[in-house]
Amino acid sequence: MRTDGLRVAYGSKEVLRGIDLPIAKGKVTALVGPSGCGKTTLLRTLNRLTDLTSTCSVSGIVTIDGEDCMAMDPVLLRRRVGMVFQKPNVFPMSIRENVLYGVKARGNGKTEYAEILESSLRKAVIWDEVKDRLDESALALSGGQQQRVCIARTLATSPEVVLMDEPGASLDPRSTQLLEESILAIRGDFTVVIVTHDIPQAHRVSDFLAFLYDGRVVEFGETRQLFAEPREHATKEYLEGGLVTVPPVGNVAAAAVPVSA
Amino acid sequence: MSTVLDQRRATPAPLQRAADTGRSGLLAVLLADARLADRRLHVLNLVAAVLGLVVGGAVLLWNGADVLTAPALALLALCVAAPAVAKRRVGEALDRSTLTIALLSAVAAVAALLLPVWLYGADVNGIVHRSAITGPMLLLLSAFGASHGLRGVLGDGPSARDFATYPVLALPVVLAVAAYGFILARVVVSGVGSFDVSLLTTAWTQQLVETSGAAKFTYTVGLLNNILGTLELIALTSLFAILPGVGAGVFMSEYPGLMAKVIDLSTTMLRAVSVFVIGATAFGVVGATSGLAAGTPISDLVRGVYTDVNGLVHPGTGSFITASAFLALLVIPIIAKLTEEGLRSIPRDLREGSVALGTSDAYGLRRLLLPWAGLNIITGLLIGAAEASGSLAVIMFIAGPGQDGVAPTNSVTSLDYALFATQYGLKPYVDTMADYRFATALLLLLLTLGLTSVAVVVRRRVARRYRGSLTAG
Amino acid sequence: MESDIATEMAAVRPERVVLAPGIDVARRVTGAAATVVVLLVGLLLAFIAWNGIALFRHSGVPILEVFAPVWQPDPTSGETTYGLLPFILGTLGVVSVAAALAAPLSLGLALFMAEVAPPWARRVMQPAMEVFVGIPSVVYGWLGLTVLVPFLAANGKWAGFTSGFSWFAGSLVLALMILPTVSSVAYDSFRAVPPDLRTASLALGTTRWQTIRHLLLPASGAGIVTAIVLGMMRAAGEALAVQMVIGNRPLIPRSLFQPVTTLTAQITLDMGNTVAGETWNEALWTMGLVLVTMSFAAVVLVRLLTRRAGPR
Repeated sequence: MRTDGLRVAYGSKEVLRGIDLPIAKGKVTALVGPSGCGKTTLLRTLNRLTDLTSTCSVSGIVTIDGEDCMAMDPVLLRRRVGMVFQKPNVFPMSIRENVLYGVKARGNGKTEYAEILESSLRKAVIWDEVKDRLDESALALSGGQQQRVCIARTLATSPEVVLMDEPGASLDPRSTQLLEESILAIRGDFTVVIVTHDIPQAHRVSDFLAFLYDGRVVEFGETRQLFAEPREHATKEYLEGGLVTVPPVGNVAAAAVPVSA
Repeated sequence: MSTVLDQRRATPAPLQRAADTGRSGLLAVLLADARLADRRLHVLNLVAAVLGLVVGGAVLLWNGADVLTAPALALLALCVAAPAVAKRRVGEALDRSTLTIALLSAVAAVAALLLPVWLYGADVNGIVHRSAITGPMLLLLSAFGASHGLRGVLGDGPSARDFATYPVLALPVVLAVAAYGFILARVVVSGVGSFDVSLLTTAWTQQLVETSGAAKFTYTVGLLNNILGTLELIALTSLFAILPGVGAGVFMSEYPGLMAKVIDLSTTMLRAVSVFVIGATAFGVVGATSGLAAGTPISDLVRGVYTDVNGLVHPGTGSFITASAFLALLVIPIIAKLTEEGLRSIPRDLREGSVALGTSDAYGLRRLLLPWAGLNIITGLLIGAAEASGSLAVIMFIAGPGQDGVAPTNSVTSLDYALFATQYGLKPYVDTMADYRFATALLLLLLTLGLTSVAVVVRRRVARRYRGSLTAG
Repeated sequence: MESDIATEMAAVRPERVVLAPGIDVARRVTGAAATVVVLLVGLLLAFIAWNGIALFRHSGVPILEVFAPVWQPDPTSGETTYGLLPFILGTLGVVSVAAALAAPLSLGLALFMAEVAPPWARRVMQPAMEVFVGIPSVVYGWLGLTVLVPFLAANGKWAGFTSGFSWFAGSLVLALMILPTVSSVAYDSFRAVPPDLRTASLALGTTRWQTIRHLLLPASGAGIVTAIVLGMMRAAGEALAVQMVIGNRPLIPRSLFQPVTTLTAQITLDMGNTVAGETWNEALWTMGLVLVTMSFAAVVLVRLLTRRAGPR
């Protein structure tokens, strides 16, 4: 996937001001930046969940395998680009039904449900914990387990790209660790784009890193390289301390509007 | 970049074109593109279906549009069939839904022509124009036709298929709006037609007049006492219901425990018990006092009392007081539930503040809880008022036409009883008031709908306040 | 040390803050009001129950006779049988057909409002529905009587209507009457499904219809059933609208197109024509008791359903 000159506004508030971002196939790309910099909006634009907000207007180009996402049927796009949300949002059904929800709802006819169920739960590193209680309600699971069921649910529909919006934000350290294991396990098979506030996490799981500030990509590159020798002062500051005291050149910090990031 | 643009041009999906040109340009693109000849037929199908929806709506509203029904149906049949026939020429299989819609439309078109214009009814009110049948038929088929057309026009992507289900999903709305539109229109049109201002200013009464030796009854026609009676029922019912209702609501919210559960179950049972069982009980209670003579206080309060032209005192059939007491049974649960709801919505900071100031329970109740729940209680009273004016079943066994007046100890009467009595009342009442049925129904509708509308508006305002307090807290 | 405990206690917020513990004036006053309410309900139910069993206690009719299929209460025209089966079956039949007619329509309406309608349409339709709940039932019954019944009588012969007064007419009138109630409750239960679940479903590449079908309907199942049961309760308790169009023939219901009767309709008809203490009159009270028992069962059912739906 890649974006070219992507601009997104909610009403008159411009949240993304021209994003050019390549997303490498089969790799993990992390989006980091202070609250309100537009990370989540960028993520939601990638599978057009922004369509659901009537005040949201999008211009610029987003492509997947060279096809224009904005001209595509959004439902077909979302089948190729899945998403895991910040808060675990399992459906009020059994674990089995949760994981198979996407596959069944699309109604592809006969499918190897059992196989899909097991393989996606394994990839989400939760199979061993739930294999004996697949028909219990997913709501009975802990927050961390629920989040991994959500990942399995997304993987079960075999998308090409998996978007993750701060998936570890509401989890305890142990769950976060399992989550990261899961991300590393699916790298290669899936393209992953992850938004995170946890800078060490970004360091651990990602291949590429984009630092966003006030609706623009300040710096993009290989994760190792960015951590080792950031070009911009702001990047260095943020990656080291999570704070930006001197706004990067070309950004007007005063105009930064905190919109749900 | 350039490869991206090339790719876009190479895909002739109409959805994509629609995205390029904006939604309004969709039709233009489809009609202009020669490669989409097949789609043009689908567009025709869609246009015919939309036309059908418009005509169907018009026919329901206005009988004069009826002449258009059959042509619209025929057009729909043709236009739905056209793309299918074109497909068939190319050798593709016909799809069943197309055939069904086209055939049904054709049949309906013939039926619309063959049906007599007026379908017979037993009396003037019962005559139904044939458009009441053909209109819904047209709407139904057009909805499916539109769905079919949309699917053809938009191509076969999942979103297109989803979008194409909307006309069918909207069908219940159309049917419900048609049914309720019919009910309201019927009452309003005929009600205004038979309305007479004097109905509001005179009461229905009978007088014994002696003409040339023979005694004869003459009647004055009017609804004044029925209207006043309804208002009185509302007032008395509110009076009886407010204290127990608010008390039970406060208790349920503030003193949780076994007693609160018992109250909750009792009020729920009150709502669940058929209104009508309450009415039968009212009748039973009035009957139980039948041994007492008129003039004793209990008899006068329960049964009511009236004085005839000769100055003799007679017991009534059941007083306004009795009726209101039983109507209050219906209203108490409403007020209790809404009071409880209101109190539960008080931000806990406010409560803690009040407790921290060391105020007494009674003081907190007066200064904090009741003012906060005030709007909820008013909503309850308004809904209760609508209930009191519309729950004929409670009073029907004990009510009368209201000829004796509307003192609290007179026999109860109300507008909804008046409507009921034009059909099932005493013969002289039916004979004299039958012409004013629709006017009575109209007044009753205006009153109850007015009250519930105000209640709904107040309720929304209350809901907004909660939101405000939530975001502020 | 003591102050430490105090701060700790202050930090632990109680589940629910009541104004002040112990007996107070407010508690006495509201408690008294509440007791009055409970007493009134108790009295009402006791009154109905006492009168309801008079048929067995006072007139010595065997309890099982209530389930006989024949209703012949008039001692002047032969041997009496107080079989309530025609009324019980009539009520159940009329109410179920009404629910069957109203449910798809109301659910469609609620779905449309909750999921498809643009905001402006929702702003108009939702209050309108709440307002229509308040239309007095006598208006429905009376329109049914003056429009529907003659229409069926004149144009429904091919289907088997003889007089127009019929099971079908009763159910149709009731269906229209409970439509706003059922739609309102169903709408609320659809709206209670959190929006982020919808977003999650759409993000899995499902269409809106698939989301409705696979997420929304299952997730609000208990709410939907509650809506329908509430509608049926309102329909079962309704007397006038039904009584005016149903034909009131105390027969076991066999055909949708023939007159039947219900518990409420029969009480309405006979209550004024019978004398308290007469066996006929006592049988009417027994019908009332049956009706109350039915509503009690429905209340319990709704409670169970909402409790099961609660933890969600």
